[in-house]
Amino acid sequence: MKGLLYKDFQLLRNSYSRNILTVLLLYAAIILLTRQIFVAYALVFLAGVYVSSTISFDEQAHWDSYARTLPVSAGQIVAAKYLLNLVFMLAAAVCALLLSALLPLSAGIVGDAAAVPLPDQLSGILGSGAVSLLASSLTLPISYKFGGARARSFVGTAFLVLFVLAFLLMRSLPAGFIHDTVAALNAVSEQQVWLWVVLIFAAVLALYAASGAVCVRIYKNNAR
Amino acid sequence: MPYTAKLQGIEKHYTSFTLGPVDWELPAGMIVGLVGENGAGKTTLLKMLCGALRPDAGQIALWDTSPADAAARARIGAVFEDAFFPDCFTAKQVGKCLRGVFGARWSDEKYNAFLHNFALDSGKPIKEYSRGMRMKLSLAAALAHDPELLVLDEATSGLDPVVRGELLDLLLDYIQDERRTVLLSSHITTDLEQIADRIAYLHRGRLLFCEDKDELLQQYGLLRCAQGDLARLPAGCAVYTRQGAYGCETLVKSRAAACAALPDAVCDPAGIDDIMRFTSGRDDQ
Repeated sequence: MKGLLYKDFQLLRNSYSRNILTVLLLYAAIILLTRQIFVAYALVFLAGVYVSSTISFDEQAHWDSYARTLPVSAGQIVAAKYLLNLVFMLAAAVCALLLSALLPLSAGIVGDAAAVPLPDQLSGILGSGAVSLLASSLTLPISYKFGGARARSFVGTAFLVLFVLAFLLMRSLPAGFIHDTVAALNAVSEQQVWLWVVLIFAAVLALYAASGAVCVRIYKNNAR
Repeated sequence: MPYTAKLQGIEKHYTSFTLGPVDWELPAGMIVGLVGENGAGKTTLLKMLCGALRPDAGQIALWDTSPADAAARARIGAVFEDAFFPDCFTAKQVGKCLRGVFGARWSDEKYNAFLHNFALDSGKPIKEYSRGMRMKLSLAAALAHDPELLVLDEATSGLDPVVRGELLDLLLDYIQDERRTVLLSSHITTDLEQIADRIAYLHRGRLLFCEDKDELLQQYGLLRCAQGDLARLPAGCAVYTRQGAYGCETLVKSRAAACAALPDAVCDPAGIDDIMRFTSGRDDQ
């Protein structure tokens, strides 16, 4: 397991170290110049995309065929990928917090810029983490079943369809309804918001674990 | 004779190809050469033996267990032509990863010694290696945990004669310990004639034979004679006959019997290539 984790970590390092550095610098610049704090949270989502994409490198090298000859189980091979995804997301969350801390520095560049309160940052990170875990829960099993490229296009399309449907739904709803809903949401206490964020994150985490179990089954069946 | 692996009724079905049923016993302490045409099922068979593929039917016994057992796979070193680490890895990273996978079985000392002997730069990414260097790295990775069964799939193809010679020397050195077994698939039959103790021939998914190489090369012969003379051969001696403009060429199972029956005819020893060419031709007859 240690060796598998090391392999996937090195794969990320070898393939993306420059890319990740560029993204960090770019996001820092966006935060400083536009005060768009959400890009820091997007970093957590991006972490999942990086880890999922390592499957494509594995496919290219036929790593799976080789890995099956090693004294490791299908569960360990899949678990290494899932665990690394969590570790990478955690690292991205730390980076997101650090990037958020840059916000007050933008005061000298674009005028007033108040720091985002830590609870807001954390809920933003948890929200982004939940979306990332949801995407990974879909991408990883589909990648193991049909290949990385197909999985990315499938999940990308699914998310796009979801956004378009949500957009169309918003447009079709009466203006008063949206206004009332927004007002109701604004009235929700901070404690309740936190409860929902944590509950959603926990539910997605459970889905992520179930997705791992499905992946192990797919991985075993791939040897047929 | 102790056996490393026993295959019983192994089958693997694909849409356009079926392997098996294969019954085969892989003896310990030998280099066994696996030959066969492209698509005969060699890689599939080797992958099943290493646990990379699961057979659809039959059983594989590997020592006292099976390839599904991780402990058994820890005793295997596998080199496949097309399956290894992603090519952005360096030899150093490959070593560190495999140390984590094999644990106490892995020897950094051995691995580094192989890298040194093979003149491989451990800090260079695999993508910058030549084909020969990649193969050497795969071998170093397969040997550093002191495996008892070494499985090599087309390990010598595409290598220059010098590197091939080095590789064959390494295998001869490795097999000095009689607990060890090498199973080597190759299209370069001269390599197998050089080092293999036994030759197994897989043809269209069926194992036609697995025989002692020396006996095989001693027994089989290429008989050149007139078509009419073939009737004088003992029953079952001729494997396949090819008609030419000036007579015919026949692969015979027993050179001694052919020479006795046709003392005036020429009967040269047949190489593995000849045996393969004629045996595969027999099916087209």
